[in-house]
Amino acid sequence: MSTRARARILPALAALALFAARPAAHHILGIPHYAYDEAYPQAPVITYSVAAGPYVVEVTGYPGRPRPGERAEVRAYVHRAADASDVFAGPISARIEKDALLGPEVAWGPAPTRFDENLHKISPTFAEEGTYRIRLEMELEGQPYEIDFPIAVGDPGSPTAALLGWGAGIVMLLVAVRAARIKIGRARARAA
Amino acid sequence: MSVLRVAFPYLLFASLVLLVVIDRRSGGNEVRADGGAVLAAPSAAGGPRTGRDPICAMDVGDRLTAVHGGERWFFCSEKCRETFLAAPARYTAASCLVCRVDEERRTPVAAGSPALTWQGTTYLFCGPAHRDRFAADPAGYFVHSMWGLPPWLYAVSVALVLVLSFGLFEIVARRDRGGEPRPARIDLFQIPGLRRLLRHPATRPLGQLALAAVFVLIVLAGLYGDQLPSRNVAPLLTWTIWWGGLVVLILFAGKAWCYVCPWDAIAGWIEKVGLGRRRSGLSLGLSWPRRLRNIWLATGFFVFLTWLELGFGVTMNPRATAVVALGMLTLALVTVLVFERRAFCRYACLVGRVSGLYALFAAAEVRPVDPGRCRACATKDCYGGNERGEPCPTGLFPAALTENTYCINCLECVKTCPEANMTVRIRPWGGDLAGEGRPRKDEAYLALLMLSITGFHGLTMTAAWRDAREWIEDALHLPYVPAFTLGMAAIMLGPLLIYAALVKAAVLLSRTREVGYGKAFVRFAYCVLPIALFYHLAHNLEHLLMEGQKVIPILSNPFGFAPGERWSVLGITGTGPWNLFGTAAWSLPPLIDLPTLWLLQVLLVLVGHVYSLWIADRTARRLYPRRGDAFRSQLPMLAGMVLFSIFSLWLLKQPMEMRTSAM
Repeated sequence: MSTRARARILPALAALALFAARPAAHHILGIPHYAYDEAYPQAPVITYSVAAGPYVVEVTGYPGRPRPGERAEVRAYVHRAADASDVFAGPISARIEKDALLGPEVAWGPAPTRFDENLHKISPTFAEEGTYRIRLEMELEGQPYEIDFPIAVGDPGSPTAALLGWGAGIVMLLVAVRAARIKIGRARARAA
Repeated sequence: MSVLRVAFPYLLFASLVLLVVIDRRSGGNEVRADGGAVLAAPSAAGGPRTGRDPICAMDVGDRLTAVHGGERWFFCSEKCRETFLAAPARYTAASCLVCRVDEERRTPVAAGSPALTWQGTTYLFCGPAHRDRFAADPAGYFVHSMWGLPPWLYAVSVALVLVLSFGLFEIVARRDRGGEPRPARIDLFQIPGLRRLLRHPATRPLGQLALAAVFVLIVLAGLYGDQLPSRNVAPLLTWTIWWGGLVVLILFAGKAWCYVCPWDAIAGWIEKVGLGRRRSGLSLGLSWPRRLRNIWLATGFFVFLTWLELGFGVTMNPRATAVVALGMLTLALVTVLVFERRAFCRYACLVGRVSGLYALFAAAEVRPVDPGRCRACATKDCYGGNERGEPCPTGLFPAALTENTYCINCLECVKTCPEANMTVRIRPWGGDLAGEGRPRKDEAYLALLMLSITGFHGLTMTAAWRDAREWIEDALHLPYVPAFTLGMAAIMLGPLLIYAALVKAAVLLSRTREVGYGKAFVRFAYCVLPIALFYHLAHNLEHLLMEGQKVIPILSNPFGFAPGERWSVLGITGTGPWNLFGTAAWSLPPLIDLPTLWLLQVLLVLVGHVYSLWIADRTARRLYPRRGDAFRSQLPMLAGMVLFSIFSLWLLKQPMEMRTSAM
């Protein structure tokens, strides 16, 4: 192979290698997902931590901002504040509510979480774009707790799409009125 | 005497302005403890002139301050200062926001407590339950407490209501012969150049253009700006400046808002240039449905908007404010494209209809100079339009105009009148209400609803309403929205039922069958308008004077972009913050101190009360020609007016959780 040909092929091979390596470089297997944000800061993970009596409830979600129709993995790690290895293994019920104009609407659950490897897990799929709250209900040392975690699906914060939709609606209305006017004009002309 | 009646609104307004100016210039910066020792002489220290009251969370000036722990603290009133000085440690330590707002107690919190970061600030909570409650409605926690009228002022004002009702007023009423009010009017077109200015084709569009620009700013800021109401210009401009200022505008200039209304302007422009039909416009020009030729639709919109505003906190939500503004524009546009003239303004616009009823009381009117010349006019261009101006947009016959209700002050009739016979005049307050009028059932119900809604509006900010709503939730096992709706319906029905009973009593006491219940119900309903109007003004004055001045810093950064924040508005990007006028960092004290504000509020309620009594008296005399019948029929009405005014004062006496559109 000539030097010139080699000079052409090698960059192409290097690029191919990089391209092929991309999924492997960003793989998520083998790493506790609640550590994604520490190990892979680029991974879109959402984390929350709150105190509930003597316990701390740590919730992580992957992806942090799921798209509509995309399955999300939500994990709750409940442990004593004083000892992170003392994990709460009791039942936890989960429910997801979507923020709506007339108050929250239940979008998922209520359903018990799966307890697996010290984590309480749910895997909801969000059908629609919007803001949601994941509500976890548990009883810790005889005391009931309801803990809400907000999560956004899609890009509900961007008003551009809604504004463009409104503008498109107005244009369609103008077209419809114009068409109706033409039709009425022709009908009048025929009648006259 | 008649000139004095015309001048009274302006004299009153000038007195109020003077009171505010004196209040601002008065001393009292030096604060002393009970023992007389000077705690602080704030201005001398050269420190900040404004700060946040640690008790009620209101931003205030340095009129009342105290020094604790080497730091200067600012207060809105003696009550807050005394509360603070009694136990300063309670207010200087961090505490749970939810405990403070919802339960009116201070729960100290420390590092490690449940926390939530919202809009760039981290808040600590006493437990996860309160953290979650905050997360459900964070903006709702940014309210500030307003101490109501002090008990002594409340007692004095109630006594004044009674004295005015049964003493002074009776003397004035005896001197009033009960005939039609004398035509005390001043023609503003006597001012050189004013007629020419208002007839100029560019005058109104320029005003509309300015307001349309403000409208676009509100929509864009509401949609794209920071959603914390204190940082975004949309809630402040809409609910504090516009909605509060609208009442003042109506009082002095009637329907002047409609002259520059951006909804009508933008809808009209789109209709005119839509798809290239510049000459005749695009509208289908259909007739407005006969069944809807009343103001029930606008009344429905008014109730719906109140439900949205108070039930869902639209006033504290920039994006919802923008959506409401766009919704109004959509309604105006659809109506103008489908129906003839300005059917939206006449029948469906809630702002137009509410301001239309209030404008019956206004100190300005558009009327023919000489109705005789109008009767002899062959062209009737004021109705049909000509090359100088458009036909009357609301389908009125301006030459026969006797009331402000449906006139939108567009002044097209001033342009089109070939005889220059239409003019703008100022007049005494209550001009249309004191006259014969054309009472209608739909207007009567809207007048009563305005009384209910203005009262309900104030009530929702009190602890009494919160307790009542929670009682409904518990008793009927209802969630928030149905409980709120039920409570709102009950409270709005209350004044209606009371009024119905009073009218029944008035009809029975009159001892004549010449006037039926229905006629009396409709006629007397207009009498409550001044009470509603002046309570509305007294309440909104609080927002306007306590918060309105914050428009100066917020206009410099209307979207509320934070330092270093990457912003994007309709594809245009940049980095915050903005400081358009160099005022973004300004901190301005309220325009008035609470004690002076209370005096103004009491004064306004009393003025409204007296006007209501006067109009009730004239209505009774018109309904019942025999003096004895008229006198007896007035007694229940008098009782009702006293009841409604005392309720207004009671509302002003209540500590209120006010929205923080600019806090």
